[in-house]
Amino acid sequence: MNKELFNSMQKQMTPSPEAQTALSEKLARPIKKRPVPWIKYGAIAACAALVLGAFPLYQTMRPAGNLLHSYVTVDNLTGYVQENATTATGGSEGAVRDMGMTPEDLTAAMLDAGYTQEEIDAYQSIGYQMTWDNWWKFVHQQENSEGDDPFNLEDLKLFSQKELYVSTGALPAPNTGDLPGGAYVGDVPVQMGAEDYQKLMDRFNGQYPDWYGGAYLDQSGWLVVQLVSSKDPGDKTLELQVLDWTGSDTVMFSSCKYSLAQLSELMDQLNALPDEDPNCGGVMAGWGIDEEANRIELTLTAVNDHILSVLARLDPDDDAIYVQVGQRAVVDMGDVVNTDSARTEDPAVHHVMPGGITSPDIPVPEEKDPIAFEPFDENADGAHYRRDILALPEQNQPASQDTASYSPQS
Amino acid sequence: MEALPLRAGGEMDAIIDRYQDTVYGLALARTGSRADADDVFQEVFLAYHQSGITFRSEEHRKAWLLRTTINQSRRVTSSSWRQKTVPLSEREDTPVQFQEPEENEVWTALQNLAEDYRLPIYLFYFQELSTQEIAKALAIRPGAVRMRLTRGREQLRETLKGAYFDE
Repeated sequence: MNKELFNSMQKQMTPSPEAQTALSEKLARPIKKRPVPWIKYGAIAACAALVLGAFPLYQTMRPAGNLLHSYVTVDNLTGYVQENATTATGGSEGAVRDMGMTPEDLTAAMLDAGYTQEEIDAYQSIGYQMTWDNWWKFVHQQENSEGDDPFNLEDLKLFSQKELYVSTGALPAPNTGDLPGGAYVGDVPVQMGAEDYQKLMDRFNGQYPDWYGGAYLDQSGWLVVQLVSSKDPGDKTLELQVLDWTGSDTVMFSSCKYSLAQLSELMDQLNALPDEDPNCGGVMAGWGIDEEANRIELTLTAVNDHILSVLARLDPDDDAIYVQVGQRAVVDMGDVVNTDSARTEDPAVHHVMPGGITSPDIPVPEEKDPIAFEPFDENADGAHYRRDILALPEQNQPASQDTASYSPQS
Repeated sequence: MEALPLRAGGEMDAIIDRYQDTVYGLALARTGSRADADDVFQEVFLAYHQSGITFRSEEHRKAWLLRTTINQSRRVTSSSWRQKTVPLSEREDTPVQFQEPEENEVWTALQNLAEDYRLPIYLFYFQELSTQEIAKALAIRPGAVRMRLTRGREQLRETLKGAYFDE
């Protein structure tokens, strides 16, 4: 090895005197502040963030008027909450129609219709879950029937069997009487599904996990649990957990996009909307969670860009809220509704009342309103009027016959 | 060897005196031009002076200087300005000259090696670094250093007829 040769060569590899002098001069100068690396990297990161974040930021910040929620127009809305719309609905007056009747409400309404207390007890013992909407539907249907005794228990049972759910403490199951497999209300499959649902709810105790998208009973009475696809690990752990909780092997599973907690939060926002924004509240008729469809169904009486932009902000993906717009089915309203507002009937404020229509937009003059004036009679028992002190036109007078003793058979 | 402060910036004269041949020699082996090696020499010690680094040991300082020298040499030789303005014949016109003919012969053979072989050979035989130190300076694995040394030696032995690179 020629170590001497290499050493000799290495000794000749020295910087030139000029370079050494120049270096000494440069070192004598004050140190020029070198750019701090993190400033450079920070600037690059800021540029990247600007580029990556510009579009979402633009979407967030741009005027909401450019984004409108979709909707469907429906003719002759019935105003009924769809089947499986099991969660409490919101809304102002319109929503009240869609809500279930309490036993007291039902008792009072049946008494008004002429049912006896025995009939009422017999009907309520069945457990049908009557809603205001269905009640008025039944009343209207019976008033237009040809029988002498429209409000009899058998017709009410028949109507209920076709239209109503049974209150099982769980999800309602459609009781159409012609379900596959003969799953009538009270039959084993329905009861089992309802029990499974109740066990599930007991486990949740009001706090829905983020993977739970809701549940419903299918037509055969089986409980179907919706699993949020983005939260489902796909290894069947959620399914096994639910089966363990319910102790049942007849639970089915389906996937969905939104958790029930998300939809509930959205419902809270919708519930607050009428108070926060009267322009929205004026056209919102009713809304509720449809767990089977995994969305909120919102009914509007009219559509405008304002509420559509508000809904677009609440539901940017345009699939959590199903918006349907339409007018209620118009019934024979007579002369009293021959106005513009009545022709475009607002389901939120116009209720079909037994025996006719009440339109709050058109106040009835007090002298023409038999209810506004209560003839005072210290001997009156509340069931009889004294026609002679009623200062009303003849056509508005109460029936001359004593209605307390009215008998359809007479 | 006198202990020098491990924080960069102090005792610059002593630092330059100790490492100038190492830095300049590596720069010369990498660039093949004394002018470029002079530039690299200045840039490396300026960078060292301004870095403010506190080194863990003298070996750490040496490794940093070697690594910086290689980076600065690459920057100088790959500069687009240099590529556009320096004639291709420059290196032929001003070859690195040593005192003895056999030294020039060895240097020419070394310069004719591919860079991958040239730097390990230079650092191993001229700077007398270990394969571990060379691996750290060149940012390659020690096994790769040994392989390049073997292949570089074979090529030099063939060129120089085995006169200067006996094991």
